[in-house]
This record gives sequence, structure tokens and C-alpha cells, in this order.
Amino acid sequence: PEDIRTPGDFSKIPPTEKKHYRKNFPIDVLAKGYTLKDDRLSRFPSAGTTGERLLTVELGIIYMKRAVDSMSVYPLIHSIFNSQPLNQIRYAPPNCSDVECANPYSTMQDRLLRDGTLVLAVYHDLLTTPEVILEQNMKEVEKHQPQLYFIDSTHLAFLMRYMRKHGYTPPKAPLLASYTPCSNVSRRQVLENFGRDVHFSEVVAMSEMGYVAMECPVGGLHINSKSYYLEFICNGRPAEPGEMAELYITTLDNGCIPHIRYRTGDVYRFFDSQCLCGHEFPLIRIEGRLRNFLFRNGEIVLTPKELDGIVGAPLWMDMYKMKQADDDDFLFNFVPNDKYEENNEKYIREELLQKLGADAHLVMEKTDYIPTERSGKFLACISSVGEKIYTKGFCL
Amino acid sequence: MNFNDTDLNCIDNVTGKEDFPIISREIDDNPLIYLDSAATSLQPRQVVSELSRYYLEISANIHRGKHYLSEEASTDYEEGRYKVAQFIGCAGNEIVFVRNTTEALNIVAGGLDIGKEDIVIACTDSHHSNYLPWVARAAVKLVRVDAHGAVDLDHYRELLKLNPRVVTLTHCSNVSGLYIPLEEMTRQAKEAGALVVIDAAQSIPHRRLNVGRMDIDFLAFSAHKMLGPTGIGVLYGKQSHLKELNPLCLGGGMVDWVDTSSYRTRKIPHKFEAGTPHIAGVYGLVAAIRYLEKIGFDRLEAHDLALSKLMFSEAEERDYLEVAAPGKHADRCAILSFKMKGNDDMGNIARMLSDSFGIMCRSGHMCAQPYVDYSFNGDILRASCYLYNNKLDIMNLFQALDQLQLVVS
Repeated sequence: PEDIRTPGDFSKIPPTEKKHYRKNFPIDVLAKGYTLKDDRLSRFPSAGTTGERLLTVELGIIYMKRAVDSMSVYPLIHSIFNSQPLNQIRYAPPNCSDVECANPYSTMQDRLLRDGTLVLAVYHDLLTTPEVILEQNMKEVEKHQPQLYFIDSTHLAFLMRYMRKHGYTPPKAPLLASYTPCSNVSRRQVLENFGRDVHFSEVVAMSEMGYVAMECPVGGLHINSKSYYLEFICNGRPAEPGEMAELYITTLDNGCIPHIRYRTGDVYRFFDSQCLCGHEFPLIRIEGRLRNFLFRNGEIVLTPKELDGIVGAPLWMDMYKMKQADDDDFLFNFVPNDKYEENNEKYIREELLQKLGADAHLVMEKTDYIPTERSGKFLACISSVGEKIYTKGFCL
Repeated sequence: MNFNDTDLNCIDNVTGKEDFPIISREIDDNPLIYLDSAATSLQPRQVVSELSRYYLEISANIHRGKHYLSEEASTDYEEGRYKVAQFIGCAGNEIVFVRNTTEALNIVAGGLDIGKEDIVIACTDSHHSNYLPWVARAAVKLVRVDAHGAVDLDHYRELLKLNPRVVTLTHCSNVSGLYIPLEEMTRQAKEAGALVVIDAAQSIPHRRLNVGRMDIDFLAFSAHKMLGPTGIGVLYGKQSHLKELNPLCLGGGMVDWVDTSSYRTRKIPHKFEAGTPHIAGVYGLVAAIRYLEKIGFDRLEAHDLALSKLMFSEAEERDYLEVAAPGKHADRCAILSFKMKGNDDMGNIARMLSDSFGIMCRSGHMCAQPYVDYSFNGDILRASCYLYNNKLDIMNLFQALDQLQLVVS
């Protein structure tokens, strides 16, 4: 409308949400002139990790442009990504892949995409992936000799453990870690196998947008302000630097499904300081999905990112998962490895209780199995309390 | 839930009546006392509410469609599988949902390639569900029990020398309530090269089991003995064994590919779940596990042991009772099976306890006829407790028996 001329005017437009794009797909969300039969369109199904599945279609070239723009923060990866042909390995939750890779009968040819990407087979419930498939993964990595890995860090850490056990070192190549937040524990294991000098970059992406943010060579997470108009909203107003805020995205690139003030449900802090790498994209820190936050008495007590900071990257731990079942009921599962000694986890417990409250019922349990979400993604922090609060419309 | 401190009360009266409305029922003005949990436990509101939620709000089938409700049901169902896996310490694809313990044990016995030349060792006090599937297919050798009902470990070791293919153990007897030394017997069976199958139907409501730590090959239990709904049970099997096991039931949902002359089964555990399963049952089972975990298994076990000791102390003081596996210091759960001396019709006693005193007990052979006939030569009566029972329930039972014995013995 004509009265939308300034950022202040723009902020008066009611935000949109995932459900709007689900409910109104395709008739009311496709831009004028597009149909689903358009050959230029690609499908981007959301795994529905949060129970909110969504099908997005978009011009393939738009997603590619957003990726390329985001990658400008890491010039070396940017240049590799643009080289052709590109031998790429994808190892991620099956629902995030484009092939039926969980099928144990699939061959390497079945999973080789036209652009040279080899999708490695994996079970939906990651830790139940049998040795025969891990063995196959190992051989295929060696055969494919990737120039780039596009991976989920929890998944790759799992494969790394197997490779290490069998004395195999995979070909060294830059790693793009996406799909789920990269935990310190997973990152440690990946770097241990590839060497600390490997190029490793965490990518924040959404199935309905593509690339949103990417980590630069000095470890700063930069959000792509070229492809999107970004708003960080806290209590209904623009957030201050360093303040926790939900990200609203408006797409600027004339895609076939424009997103306007789209509530991502993801919480960030943005900073107005300049990164050492010199890139102009704003620096951010992702706290996690609002629905995965831990709450006590209706107040946020811990974000997934803060939890990951408390856990750190101890050498004795392979995986962990925090689950809040009720306001005062928390279960922290962790998978120890052979470096574990009794009570290693004590410091985590103490710090967690400081955050959760001394009266919290916190169970710390060693295990050798933690299931993934049904989508195949592994979330290290989930909360049924956060889920309820978010569903009821909680906003920062 | 609020809990008090004594082991004889697992949940307080208010919580008990709130969560288990049946407890407030009366039978001809007598408050109802439920002492038949070894057959079927009561279900708390939380479990029933989850069953209702499925039927009233979701209702769709699983793994058979792309619509929203089907996706929701499928997710909940599979997350239920993960929940059970974490509950017993295994991986998600090692959990098969079945109707009950009986079906689970039949799947194992029927799916292994065994014949009459194969030796299977079983417990004398096995439930029929862990006896008949083996008797029908293999040469079954029963481990003797001693005068106190405890398993004769010397005899067990002797039988292991026969090179058995399978050792199928009853963790807790549904007749005597006695636990076997599970870890020790499992280890010995593994050393003898046998597959170890465990019937955990009676133990899992009271004790936390970790199949991974004990190197158990198969384990079976039912939801309806642990606050869950009827018609849903669990078979755990090690991945390597489940892969080799032949499914007994074929049909929809368990195949990857079918053509006019062949088919290829899905990966585990789905190849064992043909047809539409008891979806609501899984919702209920998960709610039951959550309820039990909220109380805590330390508390459940302590309560069970305390009631067991009380029952056996009271029984010992009454010489008109003939008790299965006597001895109050044994490792057992709160199950007391007995006869009233000079009275063969325990079904009649059960009826009188029910109708005149409001006390629900089980009578008969407890689906363990060889053992019950050997020990009692006929019907017995069984009182079994769970977390909603307390000292008063036990004392009421014995007071009722005291009154009845004056006129029936």
C-alpha cells in the first residue's frame, strides 16, 4: 500500500507465520503469473521437525542466489561452491535429502544427484543405522573424494566415530554444517577427525528460505542482509543490539512465494560490532527455536545455545539431549565414551541447577542411545513446556 | 502427584482416588479393594486421557498417508517407540509393538528356526505364554524349583550343559511373585551359547530393566500390567536377532516391495507389524511409562517390597493358609498365592471376597497349570498389589480371610 514508506510503516504490517503459508498454499501464496507446473520451480518440503510441516516451491535460481550471497562471508568455500563439477557429499537427516536414502537397498548410483552430490544413506533414527550402512558410507566417501561436505554435524560426528574406530581418515575438504544447530560436542568430534585446520562453517538455513546465515573463517555468524529485509523483534519492537529477539524475514528477491514479515520462530541476538573478517553482513548469535527453550513458571530459563555453552565440548561425551517434560521436570541424557570417568558430568549438573532453579527435578542419565526426532533431525534441547507456550502465541 | 514417605504407601489417598477413580467404587456398600494387578493393573486418568485424545482428536491411521492427522499419529506412534526404547535401554528399531507378552513370545518362538531336536530351557513356574510356544516346537527342559519356590541354580547349570538353543526365563513368577537372579542366569546362559529370552510381564511394572547392560536377546512385556491399556505389548529384540527372525504375520505395512511372485519385507521393526496396529494403545503405554517415571522406580520397588513383606508376614501367622513359595525374606514382588487348607474351591472364596468384602482377587491356575498343579494339586487364590494399594488393603484382605475361614474350612 502507498502508506508503507518507512521501516516504521512497514512494522505495522501484521507478521505472517508458517501456518499462513501452509493454509494458503498454493493459491494465495504464489506470486502472480506462477503455476506449480512451472519447470523452473523446485520443491522444498520442511521436515516438520516441530510438527509444523510446510511445502515451499521456489525458483531454484533464487535459492542458489541466496546461498551464494550468504557464502560471500567465507570466500574459500564460496569459490569451491561455484566451481564445476563439484563432488559434494551430503550426510543429513533423510527427510532433508532429496532421495530415499534411508533405504538399505539403495546403491551409490541411486543416491548420486545430477549436480555431483552424493547423498549418503542413513536411518531416520540416526543411532540405529546399522554397521553395514556405515561401512558402505565409508567406502563411498573414499570413492567419491568430495571437494565439499554438506552435513548435519550430529550425523557426521556419528559417522566419524565409526570411521575412527576403523582407522579411516576421510578426504579433507571444507565442511558446511547445517540442518540442525551444531553442538560443541559434535563440532569437536568432526574437527578431531579432519584436523583443526579444516574449513568448517555453520550454515543457518530454512527449508522455506534457503540459506539465511553463515559462519565466516574467524567464527562469526553473519546473517544475509542482501537477500532479505531483516527485523529482530522483542516485545513487539525492534530489538537493541545484544538483546534476545525473534527474527522476522521479508524476502527481497522477487521469488515465486514472497515472504512478508515472516516469523521464523528462531531467536537471535544481533550485534552492531564489526567482525574481524571485515564482512559487512551483521553478526548474530542464534539462541535456538523459541519452542525448544526451557521455561520455568512461564519465564525463559535457558536457551538451547546457552545449554550448549554449559555442556561445552568435553572429551568424554559423544552426544547429549536435554528434555523438559514439565515445569520442574528435566532429563539430561548423554552418551559417554571410553574417556568418561564417574561424575564427569557433575559440573554440568551444578550449572544447570543454577539456571533451572535448585528445586528443579533434574535427572542426569548415561545412555548409549538417544533417539532422533521422527523427522530424522537430532535436537539437543527440546521442551514440551516451550512447545505449549509457543503454540499459545508466546512472543519475545 | 503428591507422595508421602512411608514405603507402604506409594501414592497418597487423595492422589489415588483422583488418578484411579475405580478405587472410589463400592460393591454393595463395601469400598472396592483391587488386588488383581498381576492380571491387569488399574489405569490412571492420565492413561485413559491419552487414549481418548487419540480417538477424539487424531484418530488417523499411521504410515499410510500424507495428510496432517496421519503424520501426527505416525510421529506420536514412532516417538512412543523411542520412549519405550529409552525406558528399557535399547535402540528404537529394537522395539516391536505387539498385542501382549503372549504374542511377543510366540513371535520369537515361531520366528526362530527351531525344531524338536533343539533344547529349550524354561522355568517350572513359567506362564503358559512362555511355555506353550516352546513346547509346541522344541524339546523343553524345566528348571526345578526348591521347597521355597526358588529356582534350583544347580539344576539350571546341569541343564545348560545340554547345549540348549534357547533359555527362556520368567523374571518374576506370576504365581509366587519370586524374582529369579536374572543377571546371573542370563550370563550363564550366554556362556552356554544360548539365546536368552525374558518374560518380564510381572517384573517391569515394578523394576527398571536395562536389556543392553544384561545382554538379553529378547524380552517381552505387556502394557496392561503397568497401568497401560489392554491389547498393547512390547517385544524387544537385539537388532541382529530381529533381522534374522521370520515374521509370523504378513500383510500391509510390513513390506517394501510386492510383485506378483515375490515380496521384500521392510527393515526392522516394521516387518513385524503387519496391518493396522493398536495405535491408541501406544499413546496409553507412553502415558503409563511417564506416570511410573514420575513416581520413580526406586519408590515403586520399595513400595512393592514393603507390601510383599507385609503380606507374607501376615500369611505366616495364619496356619489355615497354604502359601506358594513361603518365606518372607525372599526377593519377590507383592504377589501372594495360597490355598485355604481343607477347602478346594478357591473360586468360591474369590467370589465371597468380592461380593461380601469388595476385595478383587484372582482364582484358578494362574495360566501356570503345571506349576500350580504340582504345588497345590488344584486351584489357588492370588492377591497381587500395585502402587495404589496400601497396608489397609492388605489388612482388610486378611481380616476377610480370617472371617471366611471360620465358615469354609
